[in-house]
Amino acid sequence: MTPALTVHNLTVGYLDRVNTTEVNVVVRDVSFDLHSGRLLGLAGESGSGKSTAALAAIGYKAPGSVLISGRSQLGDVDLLTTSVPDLRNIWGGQVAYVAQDASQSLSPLMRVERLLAEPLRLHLGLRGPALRKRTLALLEGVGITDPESALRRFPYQFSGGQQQRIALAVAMACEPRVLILDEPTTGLDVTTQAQIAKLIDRLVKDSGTAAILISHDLALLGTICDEMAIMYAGEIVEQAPALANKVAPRHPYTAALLDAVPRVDERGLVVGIPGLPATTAVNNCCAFAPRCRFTTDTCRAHHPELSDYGQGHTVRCLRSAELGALSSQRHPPVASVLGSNANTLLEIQGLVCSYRDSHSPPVVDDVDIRIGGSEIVALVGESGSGKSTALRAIAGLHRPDAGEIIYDGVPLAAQVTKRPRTQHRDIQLIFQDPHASLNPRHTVASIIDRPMSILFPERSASDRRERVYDLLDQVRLDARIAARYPHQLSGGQKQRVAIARAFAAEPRLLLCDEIVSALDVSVQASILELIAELTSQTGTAVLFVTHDLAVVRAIAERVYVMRSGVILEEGSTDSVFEHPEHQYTIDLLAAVPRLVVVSRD
Amino acid sequence: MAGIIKFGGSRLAFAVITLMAISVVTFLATNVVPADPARVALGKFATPAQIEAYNEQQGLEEPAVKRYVIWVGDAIRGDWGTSVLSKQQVTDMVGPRIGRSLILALAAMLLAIPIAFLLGVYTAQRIGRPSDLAISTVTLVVNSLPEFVVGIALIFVFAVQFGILPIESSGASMGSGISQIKAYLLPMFTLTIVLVPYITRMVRASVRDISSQPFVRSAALRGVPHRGLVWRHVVPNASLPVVNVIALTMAELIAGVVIIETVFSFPGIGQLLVSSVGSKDIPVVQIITLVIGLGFVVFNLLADLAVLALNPRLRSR
Repeated sequence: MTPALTVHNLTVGYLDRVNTTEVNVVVRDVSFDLHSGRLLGLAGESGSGKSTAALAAIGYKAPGSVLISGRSQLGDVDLLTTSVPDLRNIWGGQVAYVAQDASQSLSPLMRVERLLAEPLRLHLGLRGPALRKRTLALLEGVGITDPESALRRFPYQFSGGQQQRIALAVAMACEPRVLILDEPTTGLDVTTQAQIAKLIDRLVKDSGTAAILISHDLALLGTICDEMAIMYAGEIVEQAPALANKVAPRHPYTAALLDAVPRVDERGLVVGIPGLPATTAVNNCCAFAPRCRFTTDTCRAHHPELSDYGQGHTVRCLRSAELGALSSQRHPPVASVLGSNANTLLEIQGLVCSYRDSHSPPVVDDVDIRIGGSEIVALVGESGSGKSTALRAIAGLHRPDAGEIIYDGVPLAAQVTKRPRTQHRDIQLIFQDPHASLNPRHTVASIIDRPMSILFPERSASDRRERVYDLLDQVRLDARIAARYPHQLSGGQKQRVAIARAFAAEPRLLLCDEIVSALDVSVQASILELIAELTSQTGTAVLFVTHDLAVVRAIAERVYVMRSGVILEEGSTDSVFEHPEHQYTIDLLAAVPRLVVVSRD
Repeated sequence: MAGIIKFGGSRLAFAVITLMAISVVTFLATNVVPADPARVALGKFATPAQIEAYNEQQGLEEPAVKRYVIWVGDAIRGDWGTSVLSKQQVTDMVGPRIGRSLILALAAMLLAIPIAFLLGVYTAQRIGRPSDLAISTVTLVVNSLPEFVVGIALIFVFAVQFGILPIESSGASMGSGISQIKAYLLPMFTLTIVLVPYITRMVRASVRDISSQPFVRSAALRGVPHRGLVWRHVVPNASLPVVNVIALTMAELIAGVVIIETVFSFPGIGQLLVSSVGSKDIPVVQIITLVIGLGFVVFNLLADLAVLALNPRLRSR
């Protein structure tokens, strides 16, 4: 069967920001076929070129981008040589695109009716009752209840999941032959994510459209796609059919990525990939060589080509034939320290929190949490569950309506400013967005020094300086970073600085608020590794607030499951994940896509 | 709907409080200036007895608080008092002038808004190109010129060189319809030229900002042609912040009117304000200050309501 879209040797660059005569190649030699009714998964970390490749394939030139070579054949038309006015007749008609965040991709001042009608008018010339009938059918097709009233509403009046359904309806309006889905489930809650994934699967199968699903979530891709391609530094490094949720990686990057992804069904700490992802294509050597554990001198001297291992499995690695199937490097389960649970460090009883200006029920409603002396405890819930508010109450940033927070046998003051210095030192907080929580005008050294100069006034400046370098070493940052400013660092490096700052206070309890959610998987894994390692050295207890169940499984010894301000289930991570009791926990766990990694030759 | 009422109600309350504050400040300011109303009214040869009699008759010996309450009460009821100098009713002096000044300002604004939008949207499509640079430079230069310079330049060109428009605008209050309209034109063009650059720059910045939003790219990838993209997706969103700017500009315009009216001898409230301050005609100054303050408050209120009408998100809040 001829493919709906054939992309051949696509190479795209961006003009260098400093030297505008130079072009940085971000997508190189990308080839793939899209078949009707089938879903190709395109995975990779941020900067791997996956979105750029998919957008370039449908003829879209991002500002500053340069098409260097390639073909993208839609029937008789090469989309890469088609003029923009002609492409406008194809975009939204034969080729449709769905962006990551529907709240950002639907025009905010247009009602749903106008949003849906726009492509139908432009491409099918529909008017009047026929148009209305079609818009209603489209909304029904994506599972919007009460489409009549939905038509009259604005996008912001829907939840994130509903907005993405509407975006899918708009994309499917003209029954496109090709559909590009650019991280359509990222940022959604896990149950919503599962529903949207199911909808995508159904839409693609029913309509016979040929689709690309771009995501950094390998498990999601593995479960709903027919074929998967992994990108690194602008190139496809491995491409294989996805069979019954099973993957058998042959490229070291794919294997490393799979080791870095936390899994709900498998206990054990994730393994980070050292170094930072390359963002531009590399000549004369393997782009992954600096981070690969199998690198030899040959890898540093030659650029690998794709080699075919049959059944549509291709790999771009010089050593793939000799290495064969790659096995997992995941750590064996962390042996939980016996007795760590015995003495209580923090005990919360009957915590109730609400927001003053809302008349809705409290966001935290009668919550009890206990954290042992050097325990890692996770508080997991979907957005709006009240988990972050509970954490803020412990940190003294939100005044509770009722309840007691007892730290080391002493009740904590509600406001952080009313707490004694020893408590400030003992309880440290790390936020989700390190970019916002590091002072942009301070160097890394002074950021890490700051808590010490306040909390340990007796220490001399030279002692503190020595300690800053110790801490940088502990969080695996180069000593040269001390003189840099936050904006000169990557997201992962910034989060390491934030961790070093927290440990500078030598805390007994670390409060972590979604600290890995904004990071790429390889970086997320190394941050999780770091937290596990540092706390096992120092005996610091951790309260880890997250929405990600797999992260909980990877790091926590005990877990509290929270919904609508209430703790629904509590227990050791293993027992909760293997024998969930509350229906909500069962549903949550069922919603997480699972991937089975097999070693096969 | 409840959101609208709450929002509108709070804005209205705020407007009333602002007006109260303006009236207090106006009253205090006009009371501390060294201008004895009796001296102004009776001339410099009046005897102390005459002055005392006048003060008593006008209630000027009452305590300030009582005088303020009476003044505000009268002003609200439409009794704006009499001019100290001309003995005319202030209502008769100020009333027709308010209408003329308002027409002048609104006409200038109605002319300026579409011009500014067209220029702003046009230049935002061509950022960095010669046409954008040329328009941006000209608007910057004009933006930094004082109103009276623009006014004098227009007088020189249209009244002196070509002689097609009257050199001054006192004819706006008398004469035939055509000559009245002609009297409005030069001050109106001057105000328009003063207004356009600032709004243009705001529109350009806002359109540029919105154009890089993800929903614009998504719309482009739905095949929406360039024009539809600009006028259906970009401009409505880009105009939200501009509406507030227009309201503030309108308030600024009221100050601009004072200068322009003086330059053109246009018979509006600005011109009367300047001459009344000169002749220390306190009742007239007080009322005009209040009227200008009211205009300020009303335009801001209208801007808030316009944003409310344009942005559905605010309506539901």
